[in-house]
This record gives sequence, C-alpha cells and structure tokens, in this order.
Amino acid sequence: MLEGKITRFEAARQVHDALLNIRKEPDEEKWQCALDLKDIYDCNKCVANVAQSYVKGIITPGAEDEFRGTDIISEKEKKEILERLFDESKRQRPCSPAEVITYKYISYEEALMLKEKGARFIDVRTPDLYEEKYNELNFVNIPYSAIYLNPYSVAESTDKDVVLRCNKGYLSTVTAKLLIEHGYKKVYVFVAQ
Amino acid sequence: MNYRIKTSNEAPVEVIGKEYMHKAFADGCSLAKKINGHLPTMGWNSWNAFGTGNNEALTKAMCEKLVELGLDKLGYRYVVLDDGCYDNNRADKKIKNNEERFPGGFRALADYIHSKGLKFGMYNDVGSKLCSGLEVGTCGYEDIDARSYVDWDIDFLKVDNCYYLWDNATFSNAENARYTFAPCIKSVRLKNSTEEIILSGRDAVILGTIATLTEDGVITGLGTFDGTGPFHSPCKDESSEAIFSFEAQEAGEYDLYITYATGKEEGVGEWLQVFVNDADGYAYDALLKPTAGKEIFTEEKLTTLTLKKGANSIKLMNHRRQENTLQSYAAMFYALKEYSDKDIFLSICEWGKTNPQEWGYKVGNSWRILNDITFNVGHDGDPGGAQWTSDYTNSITSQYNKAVIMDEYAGLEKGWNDPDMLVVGMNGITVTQMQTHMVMWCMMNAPLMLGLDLRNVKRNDDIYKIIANADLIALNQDTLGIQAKRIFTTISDEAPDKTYITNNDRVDVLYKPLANGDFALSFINVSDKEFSGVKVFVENKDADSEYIIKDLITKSTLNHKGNEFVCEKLAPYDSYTIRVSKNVGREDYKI
Repeated sequence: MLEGKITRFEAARQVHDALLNIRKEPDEEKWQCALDLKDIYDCNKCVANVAQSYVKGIITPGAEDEFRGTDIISEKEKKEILERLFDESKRQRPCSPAEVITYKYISYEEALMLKEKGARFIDVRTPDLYEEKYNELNFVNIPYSAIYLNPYSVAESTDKDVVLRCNKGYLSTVTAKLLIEHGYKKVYVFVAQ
Repeated sequence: MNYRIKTSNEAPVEVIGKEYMHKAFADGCSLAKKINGHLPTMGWNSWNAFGTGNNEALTKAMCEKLVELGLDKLGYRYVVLDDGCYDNNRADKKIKNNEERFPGGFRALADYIHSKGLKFGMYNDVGSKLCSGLEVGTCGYEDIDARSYVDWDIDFLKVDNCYYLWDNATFSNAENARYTFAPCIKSVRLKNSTEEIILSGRDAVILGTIATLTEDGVITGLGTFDGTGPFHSPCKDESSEAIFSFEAQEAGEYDLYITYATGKEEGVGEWLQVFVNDADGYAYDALLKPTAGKEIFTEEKLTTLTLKKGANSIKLMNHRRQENTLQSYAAMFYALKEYSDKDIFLSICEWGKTNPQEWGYKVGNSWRILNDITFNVGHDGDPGGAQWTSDYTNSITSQYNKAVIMDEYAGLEKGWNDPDMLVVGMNGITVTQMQTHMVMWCMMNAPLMLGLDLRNVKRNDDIYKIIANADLIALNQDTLGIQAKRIFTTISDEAPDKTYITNNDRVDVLYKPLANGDFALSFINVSDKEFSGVKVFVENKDADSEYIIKDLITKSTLNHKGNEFVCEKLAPYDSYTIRVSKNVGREDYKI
C-alpha cells in the first residue's frame, strides 16, 4: 500500500481501508476533533477516511490545523504512516477535550491581517442602515435576518474566518453566537468606528 | 439513431447533441429511451450497514429478512450491493467479483435475489476508480461493463463520482477545476477588415449568481456552484453566463479575440464556451492556452464568428461541470440500453455537486442532492452512527433542509431528489428522530433505501414499526407522485417552499396531495425544543369542509371541520403527520 505518487487524501483512504479490512479495527465513533482540520470537508466524500486516519494518530496534519489532502505524500512520511498503522504504540492521538469556541473582538489592524488570510467580511445591518465604510476590507451586506435563516450561507465552510460588523457591536455579537452555535470556529467582531 | 457516447480518459467528450447542452436542461425532455413514471425506489443498500465489508452471506441474510419480515410486500424490493464488492482490478478488461467476499459470483446471487421476488442492484462510478479505491470505474469501459451488468441480470445501478476526470470531485486532481470554470475575462474584441468592436467586462450583463465583476472590470467565476456541501440554495444559487450585446455594421465574418487569464481552481479555470446569437451549438467549446497566472492576462484569437448586421449577442460561459457529468452518466445509460431491454434504474450519485436537480431527470431515476448522510457507516456487528444535525451534510436535517425546497424538480415524469439512504437503526439518534426521519423521507418522495442489519430487527419492535409503517409508505408510493411542499415554517414568512433554511430552530409544515383526493400534512419539529399551537390554513373553496383525520403514527382518527389545522403540542424532534380525507360520500377510503 501507499505505493507511487499519491496525495494525502489517497493515503487516508488506503489507511482507513487497511484499518477496517486488514487490522479489523472499528471506526472511532468520536471523530469530532478531526473537525479542527479546517480543510476536512475539501475532499467531500472522503471525510471519514481523513477523520479516522487522523483521530487514530496515523496520519498527522500537513500543516497547523490543516490536513493538506491534495499535497503529495513524501516517502519518509509513508514509512512513518505504515509504522503507526501496524504498531499502535507509535500512534499519537491528537484529540484533547473539546475547547469552548468563542468569538473575538478585533481592531482595524487585525482585520487587515485577516483580509490577507482571505477572511469573509460581513456587515449584518439591514440594508437601510448599512453604510459604506472601510471599503478596503470588502464588507458584504448580509442582514442578520438572512443569516438567522441560513447560517451556512455566510461562507463556503464553517472553518473560514468570518469578520462581522454592525453599528455598535450588539447585532454582530448576536450573529457571532448564532454562527458558533452552527459550527463556525473562527468568528470575529470588528469594533473600529 | 445511435445514442452511444464514447468516453475516454484523455479528454472530456465533446457535447454531442443539443439535448446535452445546458440550455436544454429546462426543456423538461428526458433523453430518448428513458422510461419515466416510476415511484421512488424502495429497498436495502449495503453501504450504511456494512460499508465496504458486505459479502454474499450477509446479502443473502438480508434478502431472507426482507421476506421474513414482510418488508418486500411493503415495497422494499431492491437489494443493492454498494462499494466494495469487486476485485481490485479488471481481468481481461472486465470487472469481476471479489472472490473472497462473493465466491458464488454475481449472476448466481442475482438468481438467488430474483428467486425471492426481489430485485438486484449494483454500484459503480463515472471516474477511473470507485470511492473505495478499487480500480474498476466505468470511464472508458461503459460498453464492456454494461455487458457484464446485463449478464448479471441487474435491475438497478447506482453510479458514484469519485476519481472523476473532468471535475474536482473526491480523490480527483483538484486542478480538474480547469475544465469546469471559464478563465477570468477582461475583454472581447471582434474584428474584420473594416470594423473593430471592443467590449470590456463592464459591458456585459452577468446572469446567474456565481460570477462577479471585479473593480477592474474583470469577469470571474463563470461556471456552476459546487452543491456537494450544504452551503448553497438549490433554488437560488445559479450558474453564470456573461452576455455581451453590440451592433455590427455589416453581416459577415468577424475574428473573435478574448483577453483572459487562467487558473486551475474553483472559480477560475481554462475552459471557455462561446455562444453566438441563437445558434444551436457552441461557437467555441475547449480549453484555452494557459496563462502564467490568474492575474496575468493575454489576448488570443479563438475563432471566427458569423455575425448579423445590427444587433448581436455573444455569451461567454462554462457549463461543462454539468454537461460533462450528464454525458458521463448518459454514456453508461445508453450502454445498458444497448444490451438490455430491461428498464434498469439509474441512481445518480454525484452528491449534488453539479446541481443534478437541473439535469438528472434526463437520464436518471433519482439524483443525490448532497454528500453522504453519515460518515460513520457500520460493519458486521456494529450498526455505525448517524446524527440529527451537523454543520456539513452528515445529518438527517442537513439532507432534509435542502431536499424540502426541491419539490418542483421531482415528479413522475422526471425522477426523485435523493437525500441519501435511511439511517434508521444506526447509533447516535433517538427513536423519535428515526420516526421523523422516516416521515420526512416519505413526505418528500425520497427513495427509501434501508441501511441497517435487518437481522437485528424483530416484528413490532421500534425499528420495525418505523420502517414498516404502511400508512407512511403509502404517502411515498402514492400514485399521484408529488413531493410534499413546505407551506409554512415558524422561522420565516417569506416563500416557505423556496427559501433555503439551515437554522433548525423551527417547525415546518409539509403538504402533500394524494391520488384519491386526500392530502397529507406533516408538522415537523426540526428543533430540540417543544413547540405548541402551530397552525396552517389549507386553501379550499368549501369553507365548511368536513374531514376525517388519521394520525399516521398513532393511527387514531377524528372528525374535523374547516380548513385550519392545528398541532397543539410537538415534542423536540417529533412530528405530527396526518392523512386528511373528505368526510362526504367517501367509500374508497376506509379508516
């Protein structure tokens, strides 16, 4: 297994297959901590492959908080993965007790840095109260009422950095709580006036 | 006429006929030879129960249990082998059984299944491999595989989308996005010996919702949304086209130049389609020469167009995400038609990626609308797990929230939205949640594919009562064939039947008309809270209508007057589902 030039997603599929069919190890039922990998849903259908090979401590993240599934896996890593697959004592399980996720207030400078990282900027006021300010941050106006109906319309993934703003910060914090309740992990409230 | 499509692993097939073009998606015509009029499929599929660990003995045990429990009589007839049943490689180009797990071969198993009065379903994939990695995908082998499937006497084929070569599907090369998005477009130039017309991105009208015009006047994102995740509305988020309208001084040939920049990612690709005036086909439909980056523009002459004197229009777009996938499924469909007269059902499983609600009816009996309902599938001795809610597709409500507003895409003359297989009997969900899950799937005319180890089911246990509720199944299999419409939701006043709502803090009311003039109503508590006093008014000319109401879970009946229906109290995750019959001169409906 793990032969040739393969991606990390492909390696995860092969590892999961070997876990079930060669090792006869049942899946971990609690794999929620694999959701810390912010690109876990990128491979769509192979979520279980990535999650199981990660929570069992066989494939380690390609970068901090990222699985990097489309990267090509190195020969050295292949060797380590195979060792961990067949020797449970070599595995390092990543899951610690779930931390409580909360939103964070940020300044203009922090907002600029998040923009560099590709964050999504949302003004949650109703369109009549919306004002053009800090245009360089590319705020999009999605009123709270629309986000309330459909929290997943805010970004392509709940792992995305989301920056919220309103008038005084009240509506933004209400929205932030709603988004966190729906699985968003990186929610910020922009408070510069 | 020859309908056959020859796929290859070299390049996407050319769009071989008008019926495969995006603009034909709305015409309501299925492809030639497709037989419509079927109700949603019911049966058992090996995936949720056993994952890739299914085998012949387990499959036979499930057949026996289907018959022993009388589930076959209730309609559960299709027994489908999902991923994991084949040998890893082709032998003499043919797919074959995994000898360890299916030692008797598929034909003998089919004969066994048919001898029980059941139907036999199998699984494959439009890519180069199956999702499990078995190297037996149908791409380029449709003809050979169809012959195998006909030899094995199948009645049903589920076709997956992993390792697909012409889109960035699961395990595909992510850079395949180059086939499914147009490059960024800066300008269009048309030139002949006497005239030059220059149009910038700002001159275009952009249709749909995915493409945008940047501040620099560049059009980006011409393509189709990826619907695999729960992030887009199936009714609102649409493919984009950029339309340039202009005047030509004379009729004749003009050279078409485009200034563009390419990428290989979601949103920026290399493939462009050009459509001129009301032509039948594309004037250009191919990859462009790649540029050094998605910000580095180049101008290329693409082709020569024939324009009219006066008003003309050119559309730039890329609908290949949908067209490629449709043609890949059609290739398998027509290959099966070539070798069998049997009406073999095609279950499209591309996970909603290319918005198959728009084209799936042309070739398939059903189309999945999202990625999988669970990523915790079971194996022999472990039922696996499911969830009521999640921030991705792997929960009952994630699937329901999307399917519930897709009723107008489904029907007897089309096929059915498929919110994935039932998770009744898996760990992680309560009996109430399973009951409501069954109600949802029945009301929404979803295929009812059981995904549990039936050896664990006993007549009249909780699971049996849910999956064998004949009154609920009668809604799903009602011959009028209309998916319920959401007529009310407590969370929003605007268009409950079209608004995509992912916040579960609500009760929905679904209305389903039935063949004998009755209708069904279901009050569905999606939330984890108790609700009370939810009421709806059903439009009816007769204000004093008298009805008999039957609760399809408790089986109690009562008389009812008027067209307002109230659900006094609804526990968390519970539903109140009733069949409503006129109480006048009705003899065909006995309570």
